Amino acid sequence: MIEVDGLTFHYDHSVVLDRLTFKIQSSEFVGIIGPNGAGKSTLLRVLGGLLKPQAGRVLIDGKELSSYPLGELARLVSFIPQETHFSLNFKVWDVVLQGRYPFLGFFKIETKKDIEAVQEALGKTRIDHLADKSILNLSSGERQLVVIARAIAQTSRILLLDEPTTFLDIHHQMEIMSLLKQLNDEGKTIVMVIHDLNLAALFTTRLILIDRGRIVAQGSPEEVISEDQIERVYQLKVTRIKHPARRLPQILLG
Amino acid sequence: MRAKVIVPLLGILSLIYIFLLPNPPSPVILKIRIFRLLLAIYTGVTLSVFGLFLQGALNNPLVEPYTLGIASGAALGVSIGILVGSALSINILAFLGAVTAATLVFFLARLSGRLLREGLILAGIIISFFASGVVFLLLVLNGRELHEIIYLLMGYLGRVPTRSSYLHLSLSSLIAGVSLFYIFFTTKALDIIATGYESAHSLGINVNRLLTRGFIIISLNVGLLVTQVGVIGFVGLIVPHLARLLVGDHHRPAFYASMFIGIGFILIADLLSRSLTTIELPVGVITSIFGAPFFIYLMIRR
Repeated sequence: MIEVDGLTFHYDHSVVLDRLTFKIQSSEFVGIIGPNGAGKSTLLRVLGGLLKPQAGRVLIDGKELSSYPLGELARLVSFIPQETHFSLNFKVWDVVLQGRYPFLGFFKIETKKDIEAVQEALGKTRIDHLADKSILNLSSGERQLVVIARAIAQTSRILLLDEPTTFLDIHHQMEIMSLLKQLNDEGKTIVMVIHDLNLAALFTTRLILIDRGRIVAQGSPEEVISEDQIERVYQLKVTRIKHPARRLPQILLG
Repeated sequence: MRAKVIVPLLGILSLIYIFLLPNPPSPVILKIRIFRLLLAIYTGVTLSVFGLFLQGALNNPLVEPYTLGIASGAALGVSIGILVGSALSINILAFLGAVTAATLVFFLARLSGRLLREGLILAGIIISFFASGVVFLLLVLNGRELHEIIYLLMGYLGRVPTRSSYLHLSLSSLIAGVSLFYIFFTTKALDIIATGYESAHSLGINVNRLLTRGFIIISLNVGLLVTQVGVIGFVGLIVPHLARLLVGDHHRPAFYASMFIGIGFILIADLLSRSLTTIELPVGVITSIFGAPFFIYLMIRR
């Protein structure tokens, strides 16, 4: 469980996050939405321990985030950036194997258990066939799957993702979201920053709408994605409809 | 399997180095050459492995140990010491200069408010230029007394060994050995850093701590190295590239490869420096003049 209390973060004089307070229960699938510059990515980085807030507390399983040693935190939380640039020529297998780093001993040698974790992660992401390919020769959709597979091999209970679908076509967007949904069903807590409101409405169990560093609304997609709320925050005329098959709110522009 | 080829090859190279070129030695010369061989091995291994570490930890293929301002600091330390008429030996002056410059680079990097990895490169370049500027100013103003600095700036393996230089070499080799051990255990972390600092952090790697420790270790070692052989550029830059080309991008195999290639590279460069012309050239001149076009070739090939 993640508890955030009075979280404040600022760069010099510009406040990015202003006294945020919320909770995320275990095995929720939470989407953080809001316009550009609202502070979504900053919030996610604070939750991942990548940025240190100036005020307020973040508790993970009742313990202060900053009190976790980095290695222990890595076994609990994994962070997946929007895009991962690979400059060196590694095989997919080796990149996924990197997810086992927090579990390696002093001599940093992988055991049978690590190998099994990698095989399982490759299976879940359905990229077994890419295992021996170079990471440099993959499409961006495949690369994103590799990075998620690495996080699966990390076996942390909390997954933080920063707009994992932004650069992908609709097929890969759905593939990634369905995979995350499956991981969520298996018990992982998922928190993702996402721009695509329709995609968010289809998959998340709860949305947190942020504007200028403050929480404007939170609740089920049904509650958060309302015409006047979206229009106010994004300053844009929208029409809300119901997805004919899934009975979930969807947004049309104009 | 590669080791089976490389080790005998280096052995043969060493024998040529000691006995053959430029001509067979007398017993006294033999002693000098054996010392020179040891010095070359020490230089090749440390510069190459530290180059590999820095390129990995800073995620930048263009850095090498001398990028961090350490060498220029050493040169400045020596020139000031000579001009002031200090009683300290050149070795100690160079070491003090190197360590002072490194400390300055480190705190400048921290002060800049930037991320440590960007700050280090930037501060290293700034301090390098500044220190070199002052050295050249002193050279121009006091040309005669400072010919020793020119040797230091160019890198030279051929000093006649004394009892104290043996001691110096064994002590610094010991320190280098321990340091290499540390670097070896960071190789897996370096592989992960290559996929981004945020990913590395999320996998439990404290990048700032890694950089800080690495920087202290490298400053100390290169400070010791500079006092013995001066500035030998390009080795720490090219050898890691060659190693990755040969054994792939993973840092652990590249670590072994860098050590062996580093030794071979220095030995060949020093052989050339002794046999190309009738006078002996500083080995740093050879590594730079032959290194630059070679690096261009590698760049284009990739």
